[in-house]
Amino acid sequence: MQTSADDAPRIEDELVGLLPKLKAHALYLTRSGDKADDLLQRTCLRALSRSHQWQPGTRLDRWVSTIMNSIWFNELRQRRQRQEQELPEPDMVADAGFERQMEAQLMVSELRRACARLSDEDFALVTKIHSYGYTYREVADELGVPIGTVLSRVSRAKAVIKRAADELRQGGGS
Amino acid sequence: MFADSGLSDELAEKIVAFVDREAGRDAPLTADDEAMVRRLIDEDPAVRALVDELRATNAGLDTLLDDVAAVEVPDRLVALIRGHGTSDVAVMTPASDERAGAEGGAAPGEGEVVTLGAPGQRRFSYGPLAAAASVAVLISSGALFYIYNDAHTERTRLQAVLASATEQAEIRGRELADARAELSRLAGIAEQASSQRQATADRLLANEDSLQQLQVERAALEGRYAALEDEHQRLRERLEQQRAEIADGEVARDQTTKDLADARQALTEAESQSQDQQQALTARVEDLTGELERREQRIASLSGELEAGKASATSAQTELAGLLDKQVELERRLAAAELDKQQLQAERQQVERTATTAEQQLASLQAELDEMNRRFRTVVVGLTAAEDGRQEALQQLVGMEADLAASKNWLGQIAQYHRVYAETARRHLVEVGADELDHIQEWLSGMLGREIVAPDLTRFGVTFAGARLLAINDEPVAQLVYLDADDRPLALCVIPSTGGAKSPTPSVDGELNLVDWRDDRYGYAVVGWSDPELLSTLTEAIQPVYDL
Repeated sequence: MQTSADDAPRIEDELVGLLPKLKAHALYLTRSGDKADDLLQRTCLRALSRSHQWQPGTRLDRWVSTIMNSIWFNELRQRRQRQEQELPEPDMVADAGFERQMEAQLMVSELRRACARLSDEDFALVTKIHSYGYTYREVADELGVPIGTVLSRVSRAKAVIKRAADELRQGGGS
Repeated sequence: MFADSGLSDELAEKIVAFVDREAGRDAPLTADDEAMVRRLIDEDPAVRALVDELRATNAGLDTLLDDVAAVEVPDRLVALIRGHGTSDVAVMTPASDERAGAEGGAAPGEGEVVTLGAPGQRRFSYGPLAAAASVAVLISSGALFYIYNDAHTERTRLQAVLASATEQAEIRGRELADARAELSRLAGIAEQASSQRQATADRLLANEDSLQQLQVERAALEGRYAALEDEHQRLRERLEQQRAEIADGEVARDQTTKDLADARQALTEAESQSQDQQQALTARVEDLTGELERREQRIASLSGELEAGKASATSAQTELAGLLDKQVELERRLAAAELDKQQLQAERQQVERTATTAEQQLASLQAELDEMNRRFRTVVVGLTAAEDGRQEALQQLVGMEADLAASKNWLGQIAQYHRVYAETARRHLVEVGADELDHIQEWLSGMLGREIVAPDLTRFGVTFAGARLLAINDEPVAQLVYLDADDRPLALCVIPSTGGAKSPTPSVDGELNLVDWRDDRYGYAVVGWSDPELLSTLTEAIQPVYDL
């Protein structure tokens, strides 16, 4: 292995450290083990190809998660355009790989299984604040909406999580 | 949102903000609202429960992506990243993931491994070709050395070998040139692929930019959506208000409907009462009619008795006359016998033997005479009794007529009068004759208090006979009497009446036909033995004349 000339930590090394978190992120988005790996790989390649755009000293996980969301939503949008919404959204149905990984790793609590029921947009919003350290103000500026709207959407998402978690508890977690 | 908690969305948002601010986040919440939530946490168990719930949710969300050490990350991806930026590592195994080859285009020219073909595709290498050429040179060098050491015997063979080797080398050289050309061509293809990937990457970048723009638009749309939701809420409230007004209107309408139903009920009851009264009157009329019939039968029976009495009296008179004739005959014969006796007494001397017989004959005849006288007296007694019975029947007839006059059914009484006067008193059909028409009209008009005219009905074959004044129930009745084509009497009667208007109604009273009608002050009746059709026709002609 080489070390870079300026002796700063290489983006590659930091990215490898983020892979478990990003894989979890991808699993929630894709609801499929295979698709999560695919999305993760495409995200990493794009991040590496644009590593010059990243400003060292800022949070890499935030930057890469933005790339992942962007790739995913882009793909969803194109897929919807192709299918004209004639078919149910395939990624809303978890495949076997996703179930296996969920049971093995992610979905040990009702809360986590409930989060899998969030829309992708709500998931992105909630993780911005709770997983990637965004402030409400930052989210509002990025989306170009009033901060009160961000609060409304966060509240709605948390209500969805609560309702889904309650259902899972009553359903015996089967 | 948190529908189970029973809290409004507005308050729930403030609680979410409050809990986030507890964790040091910058969720928007005014100081007043924060104080309010703080107070509600103490006062409202539902708020307290939601706060606890949100704290737990936040704790879980904070570690949502972090606490997953066992997540599988593909080794090749780690290797790919670690190998990034070095020139000597080619890790990608395209056979395992063809998409990786496509996605690899996102970062062309940065040392990433590019695979140009799938495994199994022909791959050209000039390494083995060069080795083959070297071997050929070595072999030819060894052959020359051998020639020098072992005389020239082998020279020709070795020269042949050399020529063969040279030929081989030339073949190998051509193959080498072909390989180089192929390599060069493939390099061109690779370069072309690189530039395509660059173009694809640029398009992806453009897509991302447009996505950002769309997100901004979407945020604006969400703002408008919120405004529209407010408007929607206001409209819903107005709708509720209008529904309430409609409900009030429906209550009022129901009340009106109920009043209407009551009124209908009252009307139905009134109609039912009216029917009852009508039925009672009908029953009464039937009773009176029955009574009248019974009385008629009685009159008929009495008339029969009267006729029988008359016949009996006539028979007795005839027999009496016969007996008187017989008595005269007997007296004449007695005188003859007396004459014979004188003759016989003169001749007594001669007929002494027959004298006794003559005396006996005389005694017998005397006894017969006595018997005749006795029977005559008996007949005279019977005649007297029959005369008494006739007188009694006449008195009963007068009584019946008085009863009739007292009856309430003026129509029936009219019929009865018609029967009595027109049939039994044919000779006194009218009180005043038709030749005194003007007098009749003046007379009856005075009695009835209205104009009474005798309509001209000759076009129906009905001629005016005269008039009579009756009294029924102390009311004067003008009776205009006509004779139909068959010379049967028929009468138009007019009587004051307060029974209310009534349309012409045909009826039958025994063998008599009637049509009667009423206006507000008078009752009218046409009665006679004529056909009902004729009476109805006459009524149509008469009614307009008497219309008030």
